[in-house]
Amino acid sequence: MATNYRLRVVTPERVVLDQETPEIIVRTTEGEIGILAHHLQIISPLVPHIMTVYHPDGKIEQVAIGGGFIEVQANGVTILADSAETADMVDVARAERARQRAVERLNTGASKESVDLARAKRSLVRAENRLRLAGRDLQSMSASAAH
Amino acid sequence: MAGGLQELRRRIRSVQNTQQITRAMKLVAGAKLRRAEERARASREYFREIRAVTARAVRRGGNNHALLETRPEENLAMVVVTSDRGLAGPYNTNVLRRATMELRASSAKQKQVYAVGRKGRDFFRYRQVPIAEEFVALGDDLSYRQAKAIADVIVARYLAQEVDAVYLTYTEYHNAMSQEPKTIRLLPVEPPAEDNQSGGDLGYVFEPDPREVFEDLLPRYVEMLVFGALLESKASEQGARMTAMDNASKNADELIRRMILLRNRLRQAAITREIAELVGGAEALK
Repeated sequence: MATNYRLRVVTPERVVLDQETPEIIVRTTEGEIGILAHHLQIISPLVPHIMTVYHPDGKIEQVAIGGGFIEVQANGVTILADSAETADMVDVARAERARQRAVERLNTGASKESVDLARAKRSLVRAENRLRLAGRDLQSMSASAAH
Repeated sequence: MAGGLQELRRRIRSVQNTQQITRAMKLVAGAKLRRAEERARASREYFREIRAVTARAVRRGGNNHALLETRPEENLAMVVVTSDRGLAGPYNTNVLRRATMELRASSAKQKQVYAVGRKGRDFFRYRQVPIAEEFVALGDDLSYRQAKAIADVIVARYLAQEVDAVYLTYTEYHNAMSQEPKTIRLLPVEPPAEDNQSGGDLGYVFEPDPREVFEDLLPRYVEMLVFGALLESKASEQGARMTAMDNASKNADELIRRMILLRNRLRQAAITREIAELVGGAEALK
């Protein structure tokens, strides 16, 4: 039986998760890491990704993280996310629009500053993560995923 | 004399109309206050966390980051959060007085203002204080993105060494009746004091390294300070407006009550006079 620890996912808007978990998987700027209880204490930036949370009863939950931080401490894990949504929280229409905008910007803005391009790429990733989480099949949607 | 009565009736109607407006504004402010209060409360958890993380990280990672470096304060910037609209009692006056006081107290060679809200912008423009940037018409539903836009500008100017220190004056919300103007330092980042329940000081690994972590963490901390201040100020504004409009409605009640008394007295005087005249006329005909 795996040991549980306390996980908190907090955004500037609200507390998204505050629960016990035996394991989570997140992607930091250095790559994907799984965190069990008694993990080494670290602090690291997170990239936009879909994080996996195991519930004590074995169920798996996924949360779209829009970038932020993870801090692993002896008494638990805190994720400070710019945005965090579980599948039922995703606003599909909004994510759809955001994705559209990002795609247009990437296609037309070849001459623009690299900062804008990087930003558009990030928001594309965020939007696609949200849609994927909400169960949308991205492959079947308009051709764009070539980034 | 009858003209005086007419005039009085007109005034009563006018005050009643004004009262309807103040009553409506009070109700609207009350509803908005509830929302603003809720949002301010919801953001406090994140605020507490990022404060604690920043405190721990700075203590363990040393303070080798540009946003932590203190320079002599030659160019000072003051971010002032006010509302776009008035009729909020002493709300704007108080926060602007506080900001003016702080600006006057500083010995910096150059001082400039970053005005959030129309009221602050107009105030400093009138007094010819240089306004470096203005952020107006943010609306009632403030988003983190708006706070980030403000923080981004400030951080960029600080890193470009255009300003040496940035302060923020906003209004802290206690409750509908009481709000308090406050000034805090945004930049350089003041490492927050650590609440002493630090869970065991074993190693603390920065992935990939302290510099990279600070690069992401510190701007977010500044953004959150700005966002928190915006939310607090918004709740304060609605609270102040609700209280002000409540008082205005009560004053209107009092004013109307007194004018109605006066109106009745005048009306009765007029009736008495008419009867006297009638009686006088009838007597004359005899």
